[in-house]
Amino acid sequence: MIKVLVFMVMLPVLFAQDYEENTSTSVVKEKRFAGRQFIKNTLIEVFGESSSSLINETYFKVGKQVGGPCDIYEQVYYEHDKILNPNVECPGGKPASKNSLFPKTNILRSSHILKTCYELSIKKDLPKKFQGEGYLKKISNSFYPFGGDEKLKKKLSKKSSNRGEEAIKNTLLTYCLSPGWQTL
Amino acid sequence: MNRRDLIVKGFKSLVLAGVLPQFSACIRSELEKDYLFSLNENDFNFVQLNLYGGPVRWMFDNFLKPKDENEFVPTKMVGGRFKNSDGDVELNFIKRYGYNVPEFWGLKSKSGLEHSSLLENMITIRGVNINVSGHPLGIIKTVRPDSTKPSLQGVISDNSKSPLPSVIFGSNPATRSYFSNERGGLQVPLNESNLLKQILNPFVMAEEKSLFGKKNKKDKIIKSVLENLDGVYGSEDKYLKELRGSLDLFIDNLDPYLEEYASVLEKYEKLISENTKEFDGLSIDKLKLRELNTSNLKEIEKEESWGRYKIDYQTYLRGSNLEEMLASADMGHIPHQFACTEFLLKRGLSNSLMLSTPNEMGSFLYGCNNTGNISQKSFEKKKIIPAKEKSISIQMDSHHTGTVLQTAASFMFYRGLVPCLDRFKNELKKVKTKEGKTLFDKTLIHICSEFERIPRDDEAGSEHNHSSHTSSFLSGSIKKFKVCGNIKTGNKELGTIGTSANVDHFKREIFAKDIYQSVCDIVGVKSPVPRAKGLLKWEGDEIIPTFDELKNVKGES
Repeated sequence: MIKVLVFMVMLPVLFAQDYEENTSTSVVKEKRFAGRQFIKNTLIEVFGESSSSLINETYFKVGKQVGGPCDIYEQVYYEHDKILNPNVECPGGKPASKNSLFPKTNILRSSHILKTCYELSIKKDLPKKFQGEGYLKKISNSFYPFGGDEKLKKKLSKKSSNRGEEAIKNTLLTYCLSPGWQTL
Repeated sequence: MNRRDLIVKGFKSLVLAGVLPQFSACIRSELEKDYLFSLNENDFNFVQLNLYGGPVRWMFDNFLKPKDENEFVPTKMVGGRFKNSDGDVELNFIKRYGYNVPEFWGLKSKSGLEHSSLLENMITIRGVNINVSGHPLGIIKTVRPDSTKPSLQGVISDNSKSPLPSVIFGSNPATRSYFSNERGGLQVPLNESNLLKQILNPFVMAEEKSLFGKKNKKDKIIKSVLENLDGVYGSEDKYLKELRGSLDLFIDNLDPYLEEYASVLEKYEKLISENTKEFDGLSIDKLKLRELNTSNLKEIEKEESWGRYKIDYQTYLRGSNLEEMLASADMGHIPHQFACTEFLLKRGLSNSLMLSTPNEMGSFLYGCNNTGNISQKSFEKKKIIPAKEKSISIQMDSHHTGTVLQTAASFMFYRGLVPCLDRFKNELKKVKTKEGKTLFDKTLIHICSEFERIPRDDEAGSEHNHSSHTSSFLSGSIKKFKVCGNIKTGNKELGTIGTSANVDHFKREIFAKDIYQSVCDIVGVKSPVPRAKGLLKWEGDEIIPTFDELKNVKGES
């Protein structure tokens, strides 16, 4: 009887390693980054329609690293190279339909957003709407219209008295690179 | 180009031309230092040469009679050279490093180096049972045996400190089964010739520079932005860490690196070109193949009697045009992948790479001249109908490749592959790591495919042998050539072809997950696949097999 009891106690221990390897936590917490369509639309709203070709080149057309699947059947060709609805795009073709909805952050995605934000914020002309007094609030409202950037705004407000172009561009870059607006 | 760029370029040209030699070290070393990432002491490089398609390897590294006491039963199609004028083949062996190896290894490349020098740092595991049929499942078993866990490259990448995650060349089920939990991977299709540009283009951000090419204010701006973000989100935030990491990867100008890559690519292309134009060692001069023409076509009852002349499912070799057919062939993107891999490893950009085929077709020779060959319809119509395509590729998956082309094409492929591996190995040996070893000591190269093949009786092709997989490993940390694993001898009908047999040490056959475990054990990452046996281990600084069995066991193949 004692032997049976010992065996019953030991039985789970014998399989413990397999159990540990074959199960995982049922809830995993991680940030969900938005796909390329969301990132592109947000950046166009912030920086204007003129930024769209740059965003397409440096971010939207990149591929599966930046996520955002598209449905190739949304495109209707009425001639061999003319799409019926030009607002619907699917760079990458059929394989892009398998891009993940919410890409995980990875160094390639980070490099694309870094390059895109730097080009838009620093190298391009400063959008008129951000020039002058109160630029921090204007930038904040552009990226975070519903708030959520209180800590960031507080951090940057100490330097916001400097209204020089360089300072405004640096603030714009900081907001562009901040993860808050990029996550859902 | 603006005036400033002109002045800078002019200055650099004067320096590099030797007019201002005192600055040359600065210019060159700045380029070298700027884009060089030392291999982390806990990291180990893993390069998988994945021959998706399952080519025949009995003339290469599927060692069928490694010891004198191993019984070997010859069988049709299993050969490394032509035996006679009709195109029969034979597999002969020579002794190297205490083993019988196919005589292919006794051949020398154009440089004079015998192929067998590669064996010095090689361990081959033969007789692995993949246990599934079909290419996709077969290769997935090797690359990602547990579909709920990361793939082999993925798990290595997740545990690595290299700047880039895994780099996977090609697009086929092997490459598409790549999966990592943490870092993602960089999949590089082979439809463009400049692979390095595809990889590094995202990291090019040109910036105005000072006259002496010092780091520009871009870094300063971005670092100050990242400091602000650290203050809000914490410096341990994964996204911010990656932003910081990606900053290290940015370059102002890709041109110098593309020039370096182009120079290396040229060397690999030259190696392949100069080693695949002659067929010494194949006894191709013995061949006096029958020429398929109208008169003998009428004598033939079945097309299967011409089986060994088959090229693909709809074409037959005319007869006398074998060399002509192969004269124009090339090895596709093999040199490009080697050149890119060499660059990435030497610069420490990634430590986990897969070289594979561009697509599911799994071809290993491209651009073979098909003019003069005969369409399959000729047998039905009883008249010679020329093949339609002017040029074809020869697939590794040789269901419809007869003995003659199979043997010649495989020979050509491995003759081109070995010098590339030699160069790759020697280049890695030139790089010293922080611990005083060479990069080749810290690299494991894995040559594999899904499975071996079963010759057909009519010699018109070969089928999958999912009970036979061979994995060969190359590394500077392998100090002695070893072959391990048990296979079956076969019988008169189907001889020794590498079919797996039980290994007493493990009380079972070797499976694909054991290969996965072995790589993880060597690279130093925890394998997430349960109940697998490691076939390789570290003994001090040396990689050795964990078992020593090498039998050809009586049994049907």
